[in-house]
Amino acid sequence: MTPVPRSMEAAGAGPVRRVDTARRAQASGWWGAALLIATEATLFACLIATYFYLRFKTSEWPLGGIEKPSVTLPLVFTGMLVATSIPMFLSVKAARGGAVRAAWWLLLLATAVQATYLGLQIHLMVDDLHSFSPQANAYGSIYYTLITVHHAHVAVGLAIDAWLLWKLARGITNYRLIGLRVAAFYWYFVSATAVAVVLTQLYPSL
Amino acid sequence: MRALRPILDRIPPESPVSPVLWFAVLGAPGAYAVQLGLGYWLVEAACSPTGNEWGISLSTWAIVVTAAAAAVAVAAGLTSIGLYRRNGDRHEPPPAGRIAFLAAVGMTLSVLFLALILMSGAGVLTFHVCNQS
Amino acid sequence: MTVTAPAATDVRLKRLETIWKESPGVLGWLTTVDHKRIGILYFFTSLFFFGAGGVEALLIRTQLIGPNQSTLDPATFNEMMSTHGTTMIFFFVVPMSLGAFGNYLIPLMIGARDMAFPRLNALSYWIFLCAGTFLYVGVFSGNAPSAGWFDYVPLASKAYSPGPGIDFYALSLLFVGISTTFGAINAIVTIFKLRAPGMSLNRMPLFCFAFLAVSFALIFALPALSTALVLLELERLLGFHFYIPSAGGDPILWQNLFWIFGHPEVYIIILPAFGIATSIIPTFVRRKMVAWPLVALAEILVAFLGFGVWAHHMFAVGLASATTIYFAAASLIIVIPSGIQLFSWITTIVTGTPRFQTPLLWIVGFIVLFILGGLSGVTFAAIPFDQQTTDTYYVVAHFHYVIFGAAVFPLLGGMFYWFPKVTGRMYNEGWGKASFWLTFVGTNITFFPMHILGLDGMPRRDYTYGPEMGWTGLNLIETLGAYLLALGLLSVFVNLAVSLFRGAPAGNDPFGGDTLEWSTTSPPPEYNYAVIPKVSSPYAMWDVEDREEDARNLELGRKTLEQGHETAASTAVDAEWDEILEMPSHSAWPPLVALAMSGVFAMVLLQQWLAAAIFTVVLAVTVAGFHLKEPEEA
Repeated sequence: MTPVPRSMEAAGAGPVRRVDTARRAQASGWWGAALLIATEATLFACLIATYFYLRFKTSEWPLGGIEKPSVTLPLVFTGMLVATSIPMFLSVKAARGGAVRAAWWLLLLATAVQATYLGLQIHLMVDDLHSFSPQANAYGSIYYTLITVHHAHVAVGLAIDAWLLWKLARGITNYRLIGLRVAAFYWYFVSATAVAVVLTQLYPSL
Repeated sequence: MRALRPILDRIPPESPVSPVLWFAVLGAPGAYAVQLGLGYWLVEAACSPTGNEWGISLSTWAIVVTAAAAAVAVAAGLTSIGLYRRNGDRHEPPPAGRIAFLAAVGMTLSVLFLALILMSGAGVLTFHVCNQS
Repeated sequence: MTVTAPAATDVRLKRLETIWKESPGVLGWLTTVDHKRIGILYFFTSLFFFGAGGVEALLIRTQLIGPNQSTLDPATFNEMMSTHGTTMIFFFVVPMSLGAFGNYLIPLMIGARDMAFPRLNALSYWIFLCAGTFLYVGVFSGNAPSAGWFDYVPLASKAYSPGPGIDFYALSLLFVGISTTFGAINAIVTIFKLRAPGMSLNRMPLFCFAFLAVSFALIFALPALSTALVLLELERLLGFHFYIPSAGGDPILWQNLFWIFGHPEVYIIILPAFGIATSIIPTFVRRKMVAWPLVALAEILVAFLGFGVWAHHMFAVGLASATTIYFAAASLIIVIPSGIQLFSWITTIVTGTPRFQTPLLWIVGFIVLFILGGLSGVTFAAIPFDQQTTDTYYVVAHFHYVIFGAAVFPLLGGMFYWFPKVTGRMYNEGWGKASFWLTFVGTNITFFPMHILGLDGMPRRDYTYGPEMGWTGLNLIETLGAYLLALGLLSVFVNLAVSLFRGAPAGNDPFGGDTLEWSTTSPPPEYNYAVIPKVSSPYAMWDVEDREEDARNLELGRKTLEQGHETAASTAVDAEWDEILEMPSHSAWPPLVALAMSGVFAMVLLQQWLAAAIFTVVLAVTVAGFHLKEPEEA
């Protein structure tokens, strides 16, 4: 008889919690997510490096007389997104402890705030588009590319949240718990990149 | 350091995620990576129109960054030597075998990267010009 | 025991066979998630692209056989030259290494029953197939890219390349980059999680170290290429400005981003070859690898240092000396890990008992060609020398020695080495040796004179040259060498193809191999191992006691994991047994996701934005479908 658990058979709060506690290494899904995050983080590093590379090519920045970005709203919205790390963290903690309903409601709360963040950021971006376009010059191009790539990552995160909300409403399995942990990990990454992106975006005004 | 003690205490030196062990392995390459990254951007900044306005001194920064990176590489190397001495044979089963193997790796990496860090630093100090020579 | 041991063993094997049985027919192959079948699919698809790239090469060499030839007009020459490089690098050598060899062998070498993410594995293959098809739709519709494999701006910008050729290039590379990223993630997680209990990192075959290094390099290098390509397409298709100076952009930005990817890419190309060499050498010289930990370290180090040398491709572009110095230093230091491996291989061969059968011959050829390619490579670290020889045939000589000589020779040797394992039959040894010599001689005749031509001033990528330049003789020799080389390669594949049907039965272990795959049947059963193997060293096959313990475990039903589609998962560093995982079996979603993705890329190319948005929704639906069934239900 082997004492090693058959992890994927675990369904329901109790068995899932036992498998989760028994596991010593990180799950395969966690590793997969970590590597995907590593590659996406490198993508953001390349985009931010491109921003500063273009910045160092000239003395005038922003280019072409474009106004410096306003600071307050972007920072507030970013703070809002970073704050959703708390319900995400608590949701994972609850699920690992067997409190699946609590985990579901916390996830829903986080998703609602994240979706609001995306809506507000898109609104701000549309506002910006009235003043200058991405085709104006290199500043406009890198500005909009950087924030759009970030928004795309937020949108993907919302899709992951939606899938989890649907699945967790039907009960918890080992796979769904790993999925929830992966989602939280992904959102910590998106929050971190949101901070990096907003600081880059607002750099001329800081 | 005192603040880190609760964390360090929870991770025994034999653990696969021991910070001491991984510093020994990754310290020197990490220091080189930082030196390259900072060095590249320092040159971009110093040699750009903006850099002239900000008055960035390439030589001074090159010395600071190289010295710091070299110090980290040396520290990682000494840590590796210490670990290797205490754990001996890489053919032993884990944890001793694993620690000895990774310590041997760390010693090699530290020497190699220290050489690279010093070569880069010396080069920049010799050729600190903003045009292609 | 009331049941006699052999009968109990048979019952267990039958049960495993039933559980792991692959669906038959075309549908079975379309929906397979078995790493061995996926490896075979990758093999034949990459081989097709090797052939395509080879035809392009022969056309180039035919055009250059003499001065002022008109086999190809200048525009077509540019297309052939660009497509040759792009095809060989992105659609042959990396998919063949990671997709074919990596997929087939990694689970077998670590004692696992499949990769960590079998459906993702299948998806990687289908995306690769779709991306390669995408590029060649461009080629066959008269829209091949023509700005070289590294596609510099401003030549690649809309102003100078108004047709869709560059869009085919950029989008197909973004497309295949998704496949390669997934493949790299899969390889890393498999190596970290699915190693047989007891196979701690210092007991893992060197082949796996090489593939671990390759995969990590891909994770961090591909985003730089993706960034460069996305910015290029935004500029070409939507009028953004990144590379045009008058709008605040910089063409050197492209070069920096491209080479931050491009240099690690060439180490990505060669590292699997190192891994194959370190598998073949111990077997054929019957000796463990000299300085094993240093070789393992050197493989990882080459991948890491590869990120610090990118600007040595830009020494003649106008960068500040203060910048280029960092890269010159790193380009010198990177010789050391390559040197460590070379010294180890040579010492192991010389102090062992070599049997110069076909696989070892290819590796010895690889060592010779790698030394030559490495020597020409290190000369580029000297900035003044580089500035003289950049963009000449000296560079073409160097990279063909290292890419063809040092990356492809081990792939060919590996094909011969593992042919018996995959097919259960032996290849023809006499023909094998002959094909090696033909290819080796052909390689040197084709590429060695290029060093001289380069030093003599012949620029690369020129579609022709005048008779007064004095380059005629060497170009003729090179072209004849290329035909000889093609003949050598043809004889390799004819040998393997004929042996597939007429070769002698091979048995489990015809060569006395050192790694675990030689302990199973040839070909391996669908479940790879009836018993999760016991491992106490990197040369598991040579540890006779451990293999005897496996046989006892099979009789007693220990570590047989027969309750479903199961494999063992261990801790990452020390490989302590942690859990039993249930693997998916067949799924139709991977090809469907790949098709949906093709639709998105095709609509972007055609600038049909609404259609692209619709296909994106379809893609989201297929991805949701992919995740509908959790792995143990699939």
